[in-house]
Amino acid sequence: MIRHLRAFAWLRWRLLLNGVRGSRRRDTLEQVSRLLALIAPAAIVVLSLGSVIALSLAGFFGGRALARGEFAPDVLVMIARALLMAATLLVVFLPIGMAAQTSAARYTRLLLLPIPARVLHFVEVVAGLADPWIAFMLPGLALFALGLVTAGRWDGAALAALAGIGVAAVLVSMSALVGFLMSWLMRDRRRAELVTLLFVVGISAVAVLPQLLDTERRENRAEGRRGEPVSIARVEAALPVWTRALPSEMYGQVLTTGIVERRAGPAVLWLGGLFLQAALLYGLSGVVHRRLIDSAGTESGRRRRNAEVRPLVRLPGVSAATSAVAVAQMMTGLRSVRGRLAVLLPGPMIALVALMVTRAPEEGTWTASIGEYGHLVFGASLIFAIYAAQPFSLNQFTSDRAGLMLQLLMPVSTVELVRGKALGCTGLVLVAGLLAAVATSISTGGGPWVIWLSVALGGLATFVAVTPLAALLSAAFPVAADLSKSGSGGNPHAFSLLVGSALVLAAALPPLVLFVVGQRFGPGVTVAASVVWLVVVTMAAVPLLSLVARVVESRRENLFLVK
Amino acid sequence: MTDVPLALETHGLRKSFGDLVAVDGIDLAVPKGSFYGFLGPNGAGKSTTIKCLTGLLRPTGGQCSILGIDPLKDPVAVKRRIGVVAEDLALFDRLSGAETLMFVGQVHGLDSAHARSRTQELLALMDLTKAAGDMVADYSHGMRKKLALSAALLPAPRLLFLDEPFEGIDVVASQQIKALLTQFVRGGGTVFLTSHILEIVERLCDHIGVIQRGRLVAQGPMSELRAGVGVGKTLEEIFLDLVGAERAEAQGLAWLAG
Repeated sequence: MIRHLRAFAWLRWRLLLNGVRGSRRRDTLEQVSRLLALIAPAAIVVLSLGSVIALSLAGFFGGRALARGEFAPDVLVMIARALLMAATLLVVFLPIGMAAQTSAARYTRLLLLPIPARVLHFVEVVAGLADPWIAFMLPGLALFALGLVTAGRWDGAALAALAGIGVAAVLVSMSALVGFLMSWLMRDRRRAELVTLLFVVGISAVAVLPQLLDTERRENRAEGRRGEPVSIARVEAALPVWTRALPSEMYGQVLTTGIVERRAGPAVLWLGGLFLQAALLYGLSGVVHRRLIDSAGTESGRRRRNAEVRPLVRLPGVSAATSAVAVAQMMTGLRSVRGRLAVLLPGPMIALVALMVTRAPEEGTWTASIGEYGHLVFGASLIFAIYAAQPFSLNQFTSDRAGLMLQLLMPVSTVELVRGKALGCTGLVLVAGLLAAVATSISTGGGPWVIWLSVALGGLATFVAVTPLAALLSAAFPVAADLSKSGSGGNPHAFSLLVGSALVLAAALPPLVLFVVGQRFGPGVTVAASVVWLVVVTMAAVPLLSLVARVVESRRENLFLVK
Repeated sequence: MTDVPLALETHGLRKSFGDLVAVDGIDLAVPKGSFYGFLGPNGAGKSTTIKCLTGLLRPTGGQCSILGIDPLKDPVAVKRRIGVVAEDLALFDRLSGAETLMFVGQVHGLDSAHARSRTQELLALMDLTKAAGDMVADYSHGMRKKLALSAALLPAPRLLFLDEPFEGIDVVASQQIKALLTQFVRGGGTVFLTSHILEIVERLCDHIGVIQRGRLVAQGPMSELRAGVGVGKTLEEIFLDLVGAERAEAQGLAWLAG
């Protein structure tokens, strides 16, 4: 067992190190690209260390204060409960989110090793202790007990230590259960993509819906009443009964009954409940793990689609090759999770936010009259759509590496390739923009179509204006991306994202200024100004794309070799 | 051999990655209408050579001519005349098999009707008709390989580059593909093929080139190679002689004997 634990610990460590070190870089630009990509993980490590130290100190001094009665005990216990509640939520939602963001673990390789399935399960569960959202809590839990010891509460320290072990056991078992379940769900490509899509859309909706459904607060505001102040008693009263089964609540009960109220019997019962929960979750995770490894290497049957051979759409005004590249870029984009999110999220999300704001109007504020400015909400959703399309627009060449290779083998000139990619990305933004127009017009009640048309033209001009630089960034900082995931694995290079985001804001300024100035002279002038600006940026973008094609030509080999 | 018109010709073709020289100045001569087997051990430089010839990698040195055209000067013209089944197969995961072939047809400038009829014929030949509407991401390895070969054949190229085309293909499909390639060569086409399955190479190829550590160690018609290296020897024996098989006998793992 120890041998296997050591081997798995080493494996995790090596994978982490090798992931940071990366593969061999071929030129200076790629070395710079790699260094820039390391900035974010380094910052996270530094910030995480600070969090661990802060939680540890809080645990130690909290335990001591509780033992000495220096601080309101119910507040201290509530803090511990809240922190553990946060950890519990992370334990449940992060494995779901991460499964939606990264590739599921491949068990086939592990199954070939001479390790019994139950040992593999145990090792996988224990390895969960190294997950940051659990590892961060452990020193705090241990030092909380130590704080009690330093104040002479040995009995309380023993209870706190046992409760800490219990809660950690529940959290790792729960994390393993959710993780295995997600890995099993993600085994099938279509099922995985559906889960990912539903997860992201669901999380986005969940973030907004409570505001929409909070009628009490809305009524209070409308009638000028102030809500009751938040207190521990109010929180306790608001918590449903089932929350008592949460590990954070059980831990809190052990502290309250055993340390604050000094009632050993109930404390031991709560403690037993905690360990029973851990055992149940461990057993359940074992069942799911067995299911997971039994299904390793199997593939689901393909869904038969319409086998009819249909011609590809032929775009007018461009060469056949440019048209084919553009259509392929758009079709493959729209069939990926990231592409669907880029199309589905911006309009409906901004529309929902607008609806939320209009349903909670406060007198004398701009929110009361937001319905009259539906075109601005539409404009905001267009900018969101441009940002959401960045996994494609800022990583045009290597977001589908196999597809790029086919294009490089075909009689497609680099100019045709660059133009086709740009057109394909524009198509994605147009589809997202169309949906945004429908969603925001429904939520805000629409408005004069001429004004909406000028906003649409302004949004399109914004995207067209950044197109050449987006292509340049795509060629300079290509990264292999997995567009079937919603997380950073599908993102463009961090530097491209940074520069690209700033460029979008800069490119949105001229149409915005034209819109504001044009409004003084009437809607007709605004539309005319937007059309002129769109023509100007398009006329500039076409030759600029040809210039960018030269850079792409010089970097063809790098693009092909990106892994 | 110099009098024979060549479909593919290189002089001192070289490709290095930093200090690593993958292809070290090779002179290939592939006659038009030949079935050329390009052999070598793993890591010898076969795939790198094909990538240089097909424009995926830029050679570090040397010259090459494909069907009389310099691929470095006019890569698009070369690509109009060749078909490639690459090592990584190079297919869009999120296009269906039929859409992939229609894409290739459109890029090659075929009109819709032609592209469509050729697509249908190729899908039928490769037994992919039922899966024509499925996304390539859902294809098995063998199906992907057959689709990649279909994509290479669709524009009716004059020179086919095939990197391990029989790997992962079932016996029935393999038979069909062999017959198809033989017919292609009889019709005047040229095939440049790499494969580790020497029995297939022996049966199909009339010309052989052997690369070892980036250098061409042998090249010529199969009959000349046999005459020069050893009459009566199989291609496998000739190949092992050329690349130094004695290592395999010398380096035994004593502990494996029990």
